Formats: sequence, C-alpha cells, structure tokens
Amino acid sequence: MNHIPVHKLSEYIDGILDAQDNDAITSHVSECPECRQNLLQLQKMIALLSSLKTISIPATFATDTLARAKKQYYHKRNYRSLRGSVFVAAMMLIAIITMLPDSIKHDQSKNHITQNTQNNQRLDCIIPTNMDLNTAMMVIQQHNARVLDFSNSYVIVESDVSSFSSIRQIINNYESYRPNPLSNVGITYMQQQEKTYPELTHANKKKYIFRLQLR
Amino acid sequence: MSEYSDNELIDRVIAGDTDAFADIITRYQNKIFRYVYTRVYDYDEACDMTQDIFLITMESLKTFRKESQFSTWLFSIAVNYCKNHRRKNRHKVYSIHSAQDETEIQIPDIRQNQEELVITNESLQIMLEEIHKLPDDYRDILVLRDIEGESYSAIAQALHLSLANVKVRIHRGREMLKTRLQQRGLL
Repeated sequence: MNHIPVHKLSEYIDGILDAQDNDAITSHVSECPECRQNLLQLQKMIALLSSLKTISIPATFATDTLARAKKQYYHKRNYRSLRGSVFVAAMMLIAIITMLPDSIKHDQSKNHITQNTQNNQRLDCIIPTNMDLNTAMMVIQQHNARVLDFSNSYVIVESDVSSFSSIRQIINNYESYRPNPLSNVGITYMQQQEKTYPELTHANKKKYIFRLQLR
Repeated sequence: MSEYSDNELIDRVIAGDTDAFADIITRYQNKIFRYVYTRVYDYDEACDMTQDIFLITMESLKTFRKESQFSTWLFSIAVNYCKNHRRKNRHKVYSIHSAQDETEIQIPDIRQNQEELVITNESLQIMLEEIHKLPDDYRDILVLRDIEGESYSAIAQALHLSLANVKVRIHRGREMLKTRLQQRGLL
C-alpha cells in the first residue's frame, strides 16, 4: 500500500483537496496506521501552533502607541510649519536685497571697507590699480603673498619686502598699459611715505601689509 | 472594540481624527505582535518593533489604496519592517531562553489538571523556540496560516507569493517543524 505524502495530508487538514482526493485520504488513514499516525502528529502540531495565539501584547500598548503617534504627528506638523516660515522669510530677504538700488549696494561695500578699520590701521600703503579681482589674485599668488581680506573692490595683502616690490612693479607696468589717474596718486602716496617705513629685510621677517584698491 | 470597518476608521484618521487609529491598533496589535515575536523571540524588542510598525502604518495610511484588505496591507508593512530590521541587526544575537519570555506567555486555563498545564507551557516554549529557528520563508507562512488562521490567498497577497508557492511552503514548513518537534520529543 502506498502511503500518503505529507503535503497531501497537510492539504487534507486545510480542506483544500477536491472531494475525490479527500475521500481517498479519509479511507486510507482509517486503514493505514502509519499514515494515521502522521496525520495525528500534524494535527497535534497545528493545534500547538494555534495555541500560540494566546500570546498577547501589554494592555496599554494601544494608548502608548497612539500617544507616541500624536507626538510624532504634531512634531512633524510644527517642523513643517517652521520650515515654511523660514523659507518665506528667506525668499523675502532675497527679494528685498535684489530690489535695493545700486547706490545703496555701493554704500554697503563702502561700509564693508570701513568695517575693516583694524586692517586699514595696519596698512603700510594703499595702491589703486586698474586690475580686476581675478588678475590681482593671480599676481598675489604668483608672489607667494598672503591675502588677509578681499572684496570686489579691494584686496588686503601681506607680503615680504621683495614680493611687495615685485607686486608693485607689476602693477606699475600694468597701469602703464591702462592709465588710471588714481594710480599715480597711490604710488605717490606710497613713495612719500616710504621714507618713514622701517627698513624691511628678509632677515628680520618684517612684512608689508597693503591694500590694492581695485577699479 | 469599534464597530466601524477598517476603511471607515482609515478615512477618519486621514480626516484628522487620530484617536480612531487606537481602534485600528487594538484590532491588529496582537496579530502583528505575534508575527514579530516569533521572528525576534524577545518580548520587549517585539513590543518596540510592533509600535514602530503601527507608527509607520499611520504615516502611510494615505497611500493605502483599498485594493486589498487593510489587514493584508498592514501585514506586508510588518513583513518589510522585519526584513529591514533583520538586515540592520544581523550581528545581534537574541537570547532564546529569556526568563521574561517564559513569564509573559499567557496560557488559557482550559484544563483542570495542573500537571497537564505545566506540560503545555513547556510544549509552547519548545514550539516557540522551534518556530523561531525556522527559516524566514517557512516561519512567516506558518505563523500566518496556523497561528493567525489566514487563508491561502490572503497569505499570497501579504507575502507577494503565488498560491502554488504558498501551498509548497506551508507543507514544507510543517514537515520541517514536525521533524524538529519529534526530535525534541514533543510529537
């Protein structure tokens, strides 16, 4: 006699076999002790499994979870609202700055320069030049000088005496190609003041601090 | 428990009545908890994970399209959450002999003989251990079928499997569990 495979017994227990298969198994297990034993073991196992349904979560779970859900919900809502306000404020600020007349923006850049009075006080000289910011930066980099501060209208530079001379020379050459009435004033001012500067050498590591006043 | 249907409760939650979600939790908390618990076999961790699953569900309620049963959809969230959790904590070793686990399982006192009740409690502990040790594919399906009593088609939907695949896994899972329980002297 062929025994019934376990998967058939499993489907028999679940009642998903057609009537013919179902009857055949019922008839077989009544005569075959081995298959009957298999069937009983499967049924016992399923009964044991279903008794695990008695495992339950603490009674306060629903209220605890709801409290946490509400907290999370309101926190997110407040965050979204705050984020929206910050966005609107930022957009308004950008709009205001964009609409400002150029004269005010110019004043602002002047103010920015005056805010750097500490640097200005330490300046050894001011050199007006027709260079733009990029050109000035390139010259400064080529001479291993250090940029202390800069904006679109000026660059404050610290350099040793030889670099300072070289930079000044390059600016003079540059100005000779592109005459700037202001540049002479600056150089003159520097030349006038130069005598009062202490003698600068590599040995004592003294640095020049000067401002390139850009066009 | 609320007399509202799942979909009515969902509509109320989406409309802003967050308290209605308490009814949804009460309706499904034990079912989800048992599924999670058989996976991690740690009572406290299973509670925390179940809570996370309900929070995720609440946040995602708007995306529920009501094409399937809510319970099926909820279960698929639980399945995905547990899979991700396993991935994140794959180096963590769970204790399978926690004293708390033994005390938390509530066995219904349906038998008069006290000795039999003790045996039943021990049997259930063995059963829990063995089902926890089953491969995920078989454990999930046996929990749904034999503990929760879900239909084959609901299981197929929740686990994204074909009906034929569900049948195969059910009988293989049962066969594997039966062999292990025989080795433990339970059958």
